[in-house]
Amino acid sequence: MGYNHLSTYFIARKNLARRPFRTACLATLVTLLAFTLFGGGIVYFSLLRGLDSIADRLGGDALIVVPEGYERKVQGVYLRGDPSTFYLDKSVLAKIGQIRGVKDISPQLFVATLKESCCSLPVQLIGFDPRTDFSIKPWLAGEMAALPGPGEIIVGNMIEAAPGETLEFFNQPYKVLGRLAKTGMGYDTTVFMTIQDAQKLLARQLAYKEITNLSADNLLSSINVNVQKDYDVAIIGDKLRKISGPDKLSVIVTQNMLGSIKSSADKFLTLIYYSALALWLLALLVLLLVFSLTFNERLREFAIYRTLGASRRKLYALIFSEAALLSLCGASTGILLAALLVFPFNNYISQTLQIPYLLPAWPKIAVLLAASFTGAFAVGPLATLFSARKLGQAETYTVLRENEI
Amino acid sequence: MKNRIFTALFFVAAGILIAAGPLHIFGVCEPTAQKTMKCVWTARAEIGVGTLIALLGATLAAMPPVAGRLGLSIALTLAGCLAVLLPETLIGVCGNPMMQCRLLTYPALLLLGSLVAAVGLVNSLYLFRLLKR
Repeated sequence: MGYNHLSTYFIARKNLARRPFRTACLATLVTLLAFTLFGGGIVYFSLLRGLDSIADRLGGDALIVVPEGYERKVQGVYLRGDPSTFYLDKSVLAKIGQIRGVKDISPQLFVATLKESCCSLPVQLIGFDPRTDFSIKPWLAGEMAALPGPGEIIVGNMIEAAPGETLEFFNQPYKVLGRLAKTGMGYDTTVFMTIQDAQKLLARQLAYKEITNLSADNLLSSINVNVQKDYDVAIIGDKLRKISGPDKLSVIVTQNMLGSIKSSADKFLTLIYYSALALWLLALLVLLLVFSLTFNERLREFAIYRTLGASRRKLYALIFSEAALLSLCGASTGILLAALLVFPFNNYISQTLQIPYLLPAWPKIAVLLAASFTGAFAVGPLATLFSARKLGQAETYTVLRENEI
Repeated sequence: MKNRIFTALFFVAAGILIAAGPLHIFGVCEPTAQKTMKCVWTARAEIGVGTLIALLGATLAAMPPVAGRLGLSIALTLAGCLAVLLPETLIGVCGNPMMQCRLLTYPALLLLGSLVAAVGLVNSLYLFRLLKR
């Protein structure tokens, strides 16, 4: 038997292997903890980043005028990219412009492409007016060198088309000007174009559906309204609702929409936060109990080590190494399992939650990985502190004599 | 003996999931009368690969000689790679990232195939060392 066989690491490993069931149960507990910390952490920060992303793009105290009954559809377009087509008569634009307190107005036209075959899901096309727009242009201009002109489009991150490529909608070719970075919201599956191009596409869609009583040139879907500083958004909203015309109007306050999204996300965030905390405490408590109970069982074993010449320091190191090895296996397995689920199934999680969801940047993921690993790993060694204190109080001779009875 | 049974159980379970998953658990897109998509063919091909993995795994459990198990493990590693390559390059899945097959089937097959390949490789290395001893 070589010297290495008396090393603390070797003895600790053998001790763990001697009790496979106990070792497996404790390692599973740490695995579960690490899984929750890392997996939950990724979901937590993805939701936060998703909320930031939608706030950046819909932020500000703006109002969105839509036909009555279509508020949820608009929210679906922004949040999940659920394709929708709905109309509003263009004449309302001039009436909104006459209201005192209205600073800027900009129309948008939403057109959903048709589902042609099993492999092509409908896509949301948003036509906007680059001259008057204040809701899309600011962040679009930050990502793109130029805004789309006639016959040009900018596509969301999840639409597979490279800049320079041509995409066809209703048999009309459009040149892809650029592909946006991931936003975690409905814009990822949206195509942006000029409102004139969107109107042409709508005309083709109306013709295809054989709708003859509508002229695409006179149709809009929503009107974004920016309110002057000294005016109350709620009062202007009320005035907008009362505008008479061919369509009854409804007004969405972007801040309210963000508030409702945030409150849905908050439920998940709270659940993740408290379950991770509860699991951490539970793991610490269970390990503390197990180490404390097994310590009493193993007093004679420790006393024999002492009589064989092992110092108290060596025994501390032994208990600590056993806990550290357990934690190391559990923490690594838990983090690996969480990574295998949260990264490949990222889009599925996002789709299931129905809340803006955007993976954190890689440096943040690395920090989260290190923090989760440390948090899960620390439980084992921390749980041995109590046993180590008891070890300091035990007298070898007394322990051996007690066990002779 | 215990290791052999656990490894074999893993391969059998993974094989069944690869074979039946794309059809029943993490299903591919529904084919229509107009067109049958790539993901449907991938699902069919995975029935073969998954069954092969499950059968090789079952043979592994009933094979005491180390050399034989080494051969089976190498075969399982390659079958795992094949399970990954079918949706990745050989046949593929639908192009739209929001399609059912891209959301669920594709990552699930990649995950299961990679796990089979990784466990097969580790088992091969372990058995190779055992054989050399």
